[in-house]
Amino acid sequence: MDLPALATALVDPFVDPASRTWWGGLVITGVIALVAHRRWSTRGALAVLRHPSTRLDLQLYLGRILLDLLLGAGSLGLAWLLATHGVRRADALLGRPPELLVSDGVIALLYTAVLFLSWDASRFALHWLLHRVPALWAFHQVHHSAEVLTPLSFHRLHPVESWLYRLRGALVTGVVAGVFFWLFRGQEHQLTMLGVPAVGLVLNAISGNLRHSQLWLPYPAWLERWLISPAQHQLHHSAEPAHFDANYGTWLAIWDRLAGTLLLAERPPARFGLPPGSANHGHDLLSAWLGPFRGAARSLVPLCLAVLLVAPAHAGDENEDEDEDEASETSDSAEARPPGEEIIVTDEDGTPRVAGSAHVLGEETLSQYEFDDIEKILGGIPGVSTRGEDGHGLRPNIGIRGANSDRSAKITLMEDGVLLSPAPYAAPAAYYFPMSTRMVAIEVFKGPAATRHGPHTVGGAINLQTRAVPDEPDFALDLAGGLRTTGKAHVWAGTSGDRFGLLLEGVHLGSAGFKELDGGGDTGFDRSEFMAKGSWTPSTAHHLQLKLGVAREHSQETYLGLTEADAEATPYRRYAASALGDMRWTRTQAELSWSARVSRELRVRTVAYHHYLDRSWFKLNGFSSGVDLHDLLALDPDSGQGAVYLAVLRGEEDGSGEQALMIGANDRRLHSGGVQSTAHWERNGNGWGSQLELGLRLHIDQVARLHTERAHDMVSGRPVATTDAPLETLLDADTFAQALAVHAHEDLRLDRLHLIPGLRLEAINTGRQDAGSTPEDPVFRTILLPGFGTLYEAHDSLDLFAGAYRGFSPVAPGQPEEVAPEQSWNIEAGLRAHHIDTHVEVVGFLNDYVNLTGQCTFSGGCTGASSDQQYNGGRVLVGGFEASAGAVILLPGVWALPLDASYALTQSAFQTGFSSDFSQFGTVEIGDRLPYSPLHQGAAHISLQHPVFDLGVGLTARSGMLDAAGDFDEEVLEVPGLLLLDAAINVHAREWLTLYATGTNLTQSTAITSWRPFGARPTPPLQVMVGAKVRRPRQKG
Amino acid sequence: MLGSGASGCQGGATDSEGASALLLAALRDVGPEVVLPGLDRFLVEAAALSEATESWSSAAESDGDTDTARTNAQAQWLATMEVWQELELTQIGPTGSSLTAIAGEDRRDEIYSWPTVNPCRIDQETVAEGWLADDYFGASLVNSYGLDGLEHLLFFGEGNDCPGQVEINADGSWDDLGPEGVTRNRAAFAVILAAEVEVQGAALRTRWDEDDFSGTLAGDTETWPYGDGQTALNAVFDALFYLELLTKDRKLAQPLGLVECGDTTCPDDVEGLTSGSGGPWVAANLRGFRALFTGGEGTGIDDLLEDMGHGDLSEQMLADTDAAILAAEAIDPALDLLIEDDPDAVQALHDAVKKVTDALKGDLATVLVLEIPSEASGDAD
Repeated sequence: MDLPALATALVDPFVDPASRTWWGGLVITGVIALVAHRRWSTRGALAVLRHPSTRLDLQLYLGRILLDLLLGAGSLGLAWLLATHGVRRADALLGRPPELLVSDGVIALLYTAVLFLSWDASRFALHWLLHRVPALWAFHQVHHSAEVLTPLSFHRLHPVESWLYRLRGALVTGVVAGVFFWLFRGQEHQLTMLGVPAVGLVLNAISGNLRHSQLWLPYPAWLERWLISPAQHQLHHSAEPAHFDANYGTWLAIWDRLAGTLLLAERPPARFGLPPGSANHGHDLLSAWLGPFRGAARSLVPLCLAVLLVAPAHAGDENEDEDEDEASETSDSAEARPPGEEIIVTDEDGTPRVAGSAHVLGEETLSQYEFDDIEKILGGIPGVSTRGEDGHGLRPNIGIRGANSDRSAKITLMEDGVLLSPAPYAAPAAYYFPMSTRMVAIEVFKGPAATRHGPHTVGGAINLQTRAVPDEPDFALDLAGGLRTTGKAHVWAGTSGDRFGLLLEGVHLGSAGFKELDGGGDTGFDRSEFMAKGSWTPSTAHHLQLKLGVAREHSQETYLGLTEADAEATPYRRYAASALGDMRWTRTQAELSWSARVSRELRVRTVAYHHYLDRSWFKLNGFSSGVDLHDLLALDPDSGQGAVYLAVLRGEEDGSGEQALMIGANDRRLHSGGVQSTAHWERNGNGWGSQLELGLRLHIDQVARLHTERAHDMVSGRPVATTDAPLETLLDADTFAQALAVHAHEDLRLDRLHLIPGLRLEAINTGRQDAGSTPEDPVFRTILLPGFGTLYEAHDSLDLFAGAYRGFSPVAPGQPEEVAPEQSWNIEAGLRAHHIDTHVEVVGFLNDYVNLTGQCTFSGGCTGASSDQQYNGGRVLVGGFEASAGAVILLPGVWALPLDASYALTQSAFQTGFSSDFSQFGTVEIGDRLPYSPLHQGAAHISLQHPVFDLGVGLTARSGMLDAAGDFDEEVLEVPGLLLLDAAINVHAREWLTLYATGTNLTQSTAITSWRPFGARPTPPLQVMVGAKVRRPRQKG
Repeated sequence: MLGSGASGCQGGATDSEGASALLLAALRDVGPEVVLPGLDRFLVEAAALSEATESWSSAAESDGDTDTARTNAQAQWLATMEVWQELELTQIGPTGSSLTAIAGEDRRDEIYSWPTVNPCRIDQETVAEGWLADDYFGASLVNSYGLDGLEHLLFFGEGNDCPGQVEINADGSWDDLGPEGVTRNRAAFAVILAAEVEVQGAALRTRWDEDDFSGTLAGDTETWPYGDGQTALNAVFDALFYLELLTKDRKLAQPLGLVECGDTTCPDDVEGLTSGSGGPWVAANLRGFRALFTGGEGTGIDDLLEDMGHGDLSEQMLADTDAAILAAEAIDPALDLLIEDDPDAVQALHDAVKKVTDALKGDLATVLVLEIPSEASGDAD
């Protein structure tokens, strides 16, 4: 061994001014100690130095020095690597920033401050984790087993912990230095004294060494709320349960305040160290090194990583009792349910209390009609428009306030607050949508609160709430059958104990379908979804939940519709060319969530999620000649080659060559995963209240597109493959998106006035590689989305609200440079009145799209090379108003008559004229309306309720829609207006048994609901379902 | 409104729609200078084709020299096609497809619908004598008649072009007809088809002349289906794109295997496979292109370019077109055989045509601010 190196290593911690135990700092500490504690006891000091704990301090210190010499430290190298790589990466992605005219002094101050804050915050975070994660606590308790504290106790660390702190330091230094170097190109320097960072030197010298000492030195209480005093850190080392879980900070107290762990130094602890019998090591070096590994292994064996995140290792039973007491005092609904899953804040009567348009459909509403089609469920919400396609709602097209409805790609779709689309950034088209049958609530928002959710904020967001794990044993079964061999089975069961809960739920829905295929064949579907939730509640402050799901679909669906003449004559016909349509997909879902009530004011919910969708849709893509199927069916030519193509589609004419049918499998594998954390900090004072929500999400999408197709001849009314070998198409591509989303949303209540600012940051990196090509350069975009809302509680039953925010929808990977993201400025104002069972909401809105975009998708009628291409639509204004009202009229006796109605007027107008290859734009003139955005839309429901039964009738209506931009008096394809009548009756035969019957489309409308993807789509026919629901009876008393 | 590239750079007065006088003159000359002279020549040839098929039919009915009569009819069919291949470049308005052309009436398909052909259907009708029905043309699809149907009747061998499972083969009705019966029926069928070609040609001429679609194209009528001069010019541009989409890609690149065709080369995909006559038609297409580009003897796109100071582009395109015509005229008629024996010669012709079409969708489209048809946005090569 190199002796000089050993000597240097041994003395370095005492001669290096950067070290907390630098001799100069120790001298200052001594002087302060003498001044503060004039009664100096030499005997006491010697007792401390002779204590076995101090001997272990020394052994660990020397041991670590030796290990460093043997293994090397190297953290600075990592920091340098991080910084330089980060700078190179930033240069490549963003280019060099413009030179900032800032003086060196200002930069030095800024750099010093940012570095200090980053170091202090990261030290707090790691320290907190060292206590909270049992496997880490096994190592950190070596530091806490010190029964007497001396400055040397600072070095009493297990090598694993020492390594973690160095890694943390390297990461933080690397990132901060990299950012500053990228910005200032070497101008950044820390403020230094004696050649070392000045802040650290000063703080170390003044109080650093007293943190680990027997000298009780508190600061004034006001100061201890900002700076951790030596006495506060000594409380952190206390062996008294009352001092557990407190004061994790190094210098600043603000981190502890945020986490609710700040404890002021009121009295010295009776003793330092660990609770008796809880140490995993003895007083010798070998035991202190090896014991923690045994402890860590024990804690890892029975539990997964998620479990590690929860149990406060420091907390004893007393602490839990305290939490339970706290919970019993605040038995609100948010406590019972993991915070964060529900998004809309409502009053006790369920009325939304947000600065913006918001709607909640609860379990009762959803179960009355037992709709399994999300498009029907959302039909009653003003401003939400849908474009029918398969008639079952398997892949819904939902738009909000003019946002394009294609595959609901412009809406932020969530399940339990987590993005549910297969790849919400890279390919937002929602080819998977959960079965609404198993949802207990659906939340829709359209106003400034949209900044809380992203990435798509132009129209709004929809959150689907799944069933929570029940508090007590509970189960339900729903069996129903209807016309065309339609069947539904829905079952769930679950229970919770003191700590653990479990819910299992399964739904199956199937139908023979209502289409009649030329030449015969299946046109139905089978769909199943299973969900399992396991929860663990170690204390009322923490709730851990694992949600697993798997869903499958097999349907004989097609994109091929009909000509208008055929749709009128035989609306449920399906042409022979669609005979091979076959969609199969499997989706898996895994979500691990941790909800924590960190303090009375602070709740945090963190979710790690991963979704995977493997889909294959074997279907007709078009003709080998490339004739546009949408135009062919829309124009319905009766002469020329067009008539031949139509005859081939119908199977009336054999087709090959130019008329060969290109049928293939559009396989896609989509991964979506990430981690998101949302913190809610609620404070209330006299006449004011504050609810701050901070959110962070790291998200990754990946899409592998594997398209194959081969020519099929139409022979005697059936497509027949011309070759066995599938042909690879040129459309295969891999795309990805990586996104960081941060948002802050504050609801500041000043008496009756709420001021609600919000800010969202989306930083998105996307890339694409076409098959056989080199990867395209990644595109990095950031956007800041501000919003501001205000709500005035004019009366206990009347709220006035207004707001404005910036809407956004990102650019998909691989788009040409000229494609801009969809952006808008959205404003709205309205009032919401509610009194007992009556409510009214009226909202006016104006969405000023700076750039409205369209995206070519197969579902939107695009094919070939244009698939997935985005197009700019320029400036568009969308405005209108939405109104909804409801009341419950109490009739004599036990009868009641709930009724509600909604209406929306949505005007839209392009502000520029242009010509686009995107068929839903086409040739656009100023003033043209948006496609598939009805001018008028309304719904009304009335029920007659009795304790034994209820009978409901619902009416939904909308005016005509355009298939492409234009106006109704022009030669633009139109989708006619629609009026639908539905009814449901529920008979509560027993407390545990409900018999029900539902009827949809009672007027048997056959109106066309869409012209896309290819051709006319009919309104699904009359459907009658009869079913029975069994629910576990409630326990009496 | 005329695009800035076309109107802003041109001299002369502009009308209320903003189109320049020169542009309107070019649009106005398409009918009288390009389409109608071509149709006049076509109608002469079509009338002769009618006579030739009648002679063939008479010979077949009277046990005369059917081979000579058929050969004569074949020769006249080739002469008729030679003219028609020039007119293929004029698929504007009523001539064009109702699917893709503004004011399209599918009249081109009524005369010649290639590549939408159905030889088996022709054979089936030959046996069923479907042409005797009064509404045969009204009830049938375009792949059951026209010049393409005539090609099959005139040039196909003794057998038929249907798979074995098709009724005429499965039930033996084709064999029952016998070779003489087949010839007799084919000739009789050809008479009906040739007469209909003549009728359809005359009807198309009426649409351009008496019905004044020539004026309609230039906005001289009460309603202008194009709305503005730029859109009308784009319709002419779309017609020129036949050279890119059909001549270059479908007739040459696809048989050569330059685009995916299911094999290394696909000589059976050539136009005129049965008659072995596709080569000269490439030259005819190029001549049609030249005529439309120059506006025949009148005002054409070349004049627009010259007026805008891009005379060099016009000259280069015409020189490249002439060079391609020479190359096409020098090539063997039977392209399928040539692709097998000397693919380089066909490749050279393809490249010569590509030189013209590259300029068409490149500099020309840019200068005149024209929209390239969506199906031609990416080079099929």
